Amino acid sequence: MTRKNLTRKTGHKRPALFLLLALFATAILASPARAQADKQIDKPDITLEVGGLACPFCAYGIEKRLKKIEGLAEVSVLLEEGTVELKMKDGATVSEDRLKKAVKEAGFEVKQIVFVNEKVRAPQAG
Amino acid sequence: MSVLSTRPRRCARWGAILLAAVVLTARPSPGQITTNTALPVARGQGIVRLQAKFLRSTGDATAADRDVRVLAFPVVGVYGITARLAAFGVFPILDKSLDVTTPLGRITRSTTGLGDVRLFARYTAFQFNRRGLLIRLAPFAGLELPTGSNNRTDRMGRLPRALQAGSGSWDPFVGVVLTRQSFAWQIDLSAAYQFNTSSDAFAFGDEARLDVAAKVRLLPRNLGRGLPHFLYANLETNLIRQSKNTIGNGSDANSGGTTWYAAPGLQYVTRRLILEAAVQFPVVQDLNGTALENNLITTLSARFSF
Repeated sequence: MTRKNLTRKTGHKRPALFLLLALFATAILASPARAQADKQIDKPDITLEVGGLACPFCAYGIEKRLKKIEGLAEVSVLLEEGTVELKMKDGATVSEDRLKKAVKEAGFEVKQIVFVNEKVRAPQAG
Repeated sequence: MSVLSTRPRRCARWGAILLAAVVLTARPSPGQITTNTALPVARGQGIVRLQAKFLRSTGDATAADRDVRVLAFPVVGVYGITARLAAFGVFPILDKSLDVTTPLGRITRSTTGLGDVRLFARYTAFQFNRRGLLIRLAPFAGLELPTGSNNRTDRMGRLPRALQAGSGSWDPFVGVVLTRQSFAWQIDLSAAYQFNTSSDAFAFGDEARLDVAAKVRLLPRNLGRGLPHFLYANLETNLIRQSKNTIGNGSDANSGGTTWYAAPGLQYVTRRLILEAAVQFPVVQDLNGTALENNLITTLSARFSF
């Protein structure tokens, strides 16, 4: 009987303890100090308007695909604006098609591309 | 002869329901906690989800006073093959135990090990994109492999089927999921069907499942500039209908039934990490015959993107 009672007590407490820890961790991590913007680019070369971007976890896929572009120095996602800002390395260029392809490979869609710095625009293939 | 071995059908029933609850709720994508999602996975992107789930079934009206506990650690891997096609794998580590009163006294029977691995693929058949709004429709199909042992024994003899880590059978499944996500909230609807085949003249009943899950962003109130972290409040429901098990040429009258779970939870979402917790409780349990009903299912989970 002792073993049975002990088992039952443990069984009741374990999920409650798990949940308590989870709530505690969540509350700390979600504090206003944590919920701040990630690193942003001062003077972007390119701004992409991306359709479908609605949560931070999905944004990582876009970053990952864009970082495959040769010559890309920095990428920053602005969630509320639905845009992605890009900074190219000195002398590097990129085409519209390459940018569209990268975003498409992430499962999203480019709505508009703005070359703030025309020097980074590469001619379209073909 | 153990007392359990005289009640294989009853044990098989709770086992099937528990296994289904553990493995089928091991949802891998960056969506909800207990429900599938159609959110995109980028080409070459990987996601790993680590979960701890605790289930318990008590309230046995018989003299056996069965008390079932399952601690499961499903490890889920996702990989984006293309922007539309993603591959999923669920690798459950299970620790199952049963306390039961026998003529010899109160005994415990248990098993630990790898359960049945699930492999499946999801294809995004329809997508709609607008600023801050995403809609996806994605069918999926896969196979549950008999990787878990189904012939373990203890000092009382062979463990009952439901207490085994695996089913011993190859079980295909199909489904479809619809997702709508905006900055403020997300809803997922998923329907799935699993065809459970037989092994050693025994088959768990086929399972139909309907999940509806919604979540609302609590924090931050205003998105601001950049990529803020989100805190969501989730409310999910899972309707599971299981057919009767078959033993030999007959069906087990004390198996199968319908269970409807509700699952409130919290989700903390960042760029590469999701932390989440949910408690599933049965709202309705309409089970055939006499068997144990499930209590709460507690889920803790973390997802990492790489």
